[in-house]
Amino acid sequence: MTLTRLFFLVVSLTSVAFGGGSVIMTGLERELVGGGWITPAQFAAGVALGQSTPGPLAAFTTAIGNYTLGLAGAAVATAGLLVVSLGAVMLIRVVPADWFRHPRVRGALAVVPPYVTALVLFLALRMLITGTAARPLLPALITIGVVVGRLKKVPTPALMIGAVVMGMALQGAW
Amino acid sequence: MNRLFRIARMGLWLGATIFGGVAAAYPRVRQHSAELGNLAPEEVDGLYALAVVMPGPSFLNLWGAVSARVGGLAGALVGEVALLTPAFLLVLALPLVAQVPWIGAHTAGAVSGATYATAGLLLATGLEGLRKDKGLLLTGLTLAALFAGVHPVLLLILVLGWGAR
Repeated sequence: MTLTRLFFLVVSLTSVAFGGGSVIMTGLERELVGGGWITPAQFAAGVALGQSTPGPLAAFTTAIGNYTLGLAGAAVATAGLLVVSLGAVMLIRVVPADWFRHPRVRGALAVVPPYVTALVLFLALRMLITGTAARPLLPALITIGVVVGRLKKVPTPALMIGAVVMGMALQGAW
Repeated sequence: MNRLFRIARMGLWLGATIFGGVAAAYPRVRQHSAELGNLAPEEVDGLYALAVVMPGPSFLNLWGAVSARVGGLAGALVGEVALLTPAFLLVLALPLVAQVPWIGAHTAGAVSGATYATAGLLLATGLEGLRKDKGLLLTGLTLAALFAGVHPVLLLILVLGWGAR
């Protein structure tokens, strides 16, 4: 695997990734694990790492780039994401601001906040349902603690660090 | 220059504090869009819809589109780089931190803790949305459709069409 090949692999996968990173994830696994460039354990660690850090969920691409070709691999994989996204942004930029104020468009866009609320609740519930089957006490404790902390305006990094330390200290106990 | 600095600062803040992707980011971006420039919340709604249906990471697309509205192409570039920087540094640093024996032995616990915290942050964002939004029926129907397995992008297109009637 070369840096150029990794860059174009990320660009080609990201260009056809609509509404989620599953296309990128599946394609990277096929090419990098299937090609013997990284082990399945490194791939799984990269996905877990990318998804438990803040920012775009596609950061797993950076983590997998790091496992494949070190710091340069991480940089090249991230640049691949950036190039595709900037292309998309340039297309979005063509849409004039007046368009959003058209009555029909405003009517359509009024549904976006309730839609996103449903999507956020769905993601949270799905994470809890799939992760809590065997030992529900620790997930419940962390989740309720974070919800209360967030509603009381505790800074997000403090909540995340507290949850990580709690998970490390209590994993296996509860 | 001042405008690019504000974009970079907010991009770094979003990149360091938002867990859970574009759905978690959208309410914060909408809330703070006025601080960046002359950007109405309705315009952010439109940019969200376009960012999600475009190829590429939706959170990156949304923040890039908002930054482009405020600072042009340079704004988009600065905004996206700032957004990616915290995660970039963390994914490089955390494997090194995990080499400390006690931490390495508890990696699974750390990932579980981070996952449940992300679920908690998403839940809190959803509860805030329920309190603010008016479309409770639409939220309920959308939630049911998502659990029934309808793809989120297809669902977004359907609800936009329903809203445009």
